[in-house]
Amino acid sequence: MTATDRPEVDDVAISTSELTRRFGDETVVDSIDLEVRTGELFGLLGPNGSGKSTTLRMLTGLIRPSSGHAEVLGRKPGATPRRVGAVIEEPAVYPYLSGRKNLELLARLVGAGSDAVEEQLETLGLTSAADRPAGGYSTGMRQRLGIAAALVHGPDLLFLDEPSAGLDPSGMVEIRELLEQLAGGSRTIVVSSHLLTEIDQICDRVAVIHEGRLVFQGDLDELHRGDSEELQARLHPREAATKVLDDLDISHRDDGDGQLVIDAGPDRTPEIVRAFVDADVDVHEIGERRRSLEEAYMEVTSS
Amino acid sequence: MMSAIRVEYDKLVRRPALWWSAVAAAAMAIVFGYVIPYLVGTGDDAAPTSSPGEAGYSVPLETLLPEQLVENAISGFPLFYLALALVLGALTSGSEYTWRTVRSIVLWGPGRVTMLAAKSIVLIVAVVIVAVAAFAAGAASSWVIAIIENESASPPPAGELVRGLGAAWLILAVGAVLGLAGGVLARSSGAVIGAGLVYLFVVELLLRTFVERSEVIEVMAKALPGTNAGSLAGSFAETTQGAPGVNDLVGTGQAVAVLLAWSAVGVAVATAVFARRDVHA
Repeated sequence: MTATDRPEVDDVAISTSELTRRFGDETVVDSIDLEVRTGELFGLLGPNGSGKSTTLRMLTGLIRPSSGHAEVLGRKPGATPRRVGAVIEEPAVYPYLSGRKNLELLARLVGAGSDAVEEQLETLGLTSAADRPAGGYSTGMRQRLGIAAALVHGPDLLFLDEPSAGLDPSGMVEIRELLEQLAGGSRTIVVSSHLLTEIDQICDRVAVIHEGRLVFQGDLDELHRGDSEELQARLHPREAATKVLDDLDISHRDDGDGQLVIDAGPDRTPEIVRAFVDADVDVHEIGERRRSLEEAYMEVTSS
Repeated sequence: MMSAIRVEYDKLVRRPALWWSAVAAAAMAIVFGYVIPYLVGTGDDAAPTSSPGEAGYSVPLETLLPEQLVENAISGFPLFYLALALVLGALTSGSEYTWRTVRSIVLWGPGRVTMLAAKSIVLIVAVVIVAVAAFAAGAASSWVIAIIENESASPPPAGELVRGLGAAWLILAVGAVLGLAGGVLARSSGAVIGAGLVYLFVVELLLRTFVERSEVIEVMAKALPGTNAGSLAGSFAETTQGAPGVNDLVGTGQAVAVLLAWSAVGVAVATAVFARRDVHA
């Protein structure tokens, strides 16, 4: 990141500096420097046990860092409860109370009204089950109730740890659509997940945490592109296209999906396209190669 | 603070455990305070010189009449109802960890200290329900016996009733607060309930059997919550002596002071730990 595109201080919702958490001799989160901008949908990626949840717990003030510093909405973590919503790991509910009563109690704590409770019940599709004891809810319903609780006071910052856990495919789609609907404006959403496709579909920027360390932070596109300079093209006929590249002394390979991966940067695109046209090769599509998030993730976590 | 108290009140009054505690207290008051003694046998001049279950055991009929309600009802508090309050206290705080709702309290509450203070206040007030349930059940039972035996159904003096309810409340408050503190320390209720019951029913009772043989043990015993609860109950009448947990080891003033001190210690320890410790639930 250059100085010119670095956000202003007011535009930073979360910043951490060498944030570290140790449990005994084990360092679970190791010197993480994180920056989440106001209004973005930020993804925290990493396998189970990588330190994502511990990071979120520190950012919400549930646990204290062993060393380092964190600022959330300009204050220390946990200091702005009315501006922050969170679902950390499994949603927490009082099983003997109805879903509505669970929400009402939390709403009272954060100063939200009963209208907000009804609105969230409606939004999360829980109205018909609202008067049943929450202890009898399915995992998916509990997850929705947890999200409703996190949203009941209209927070500026929302932390969601594995929001799709326990949901069926249609539930996952609903949550994804909800997040897209909630994002934008001044509301910042941090989603932690080990599901790469989930993050890929909804997030603007991501951080990848591996074995407690931050191994990548930036735009999702940047992660897809990676450091290597490659082009990806759909060409016809294939034989003529590969001959053109051989003549230009450019290495290439099949991507396994009917496209050709060309070992050249985007600055050589005009030259290559001209050569294809001269050789009567039809160029259906050509551009910078986008790695799948899975490939990108494997690369950043193995380096 | 008021929003925290209202939330904790809403949670506790809707919790079946509170009402089951009241029902259990009432049932114990009826069965062990009146039904069993009445069935075992009463006599005009009999005194409880032998233990229940032994041949020749009987209780004076007058101890089962409404006028001696306070003496009869209070005798169950130092052991059985104290244990009941300890269980309720442990459930109140420990379940927050079991259900992981402690996260909600910490995340959205007005502060950890405020939330725990609100929980303690509501719990201490709520155990009045358990005390009243035991006294009410005792009153009803004694009135029935008075009718059956064609004896006087005069109630106890109002002052004594208030003093008895106050003592019962204090005993329950100590048990509830210690249970609450244990739930916070153990981050669960099960372990605290187990350990608490063993402590009350085994450790303290055993310790008191050695009081006359060792000064050190006597000093220790006189500082324990169960002993002081027993002495407070024992201060009401000689007829309460012999009931499990009731004793005359310390005076009423000391008993009240020590029980208040234990309540303060319980709240202070729970608050200090809750305010500082990480929430992993």
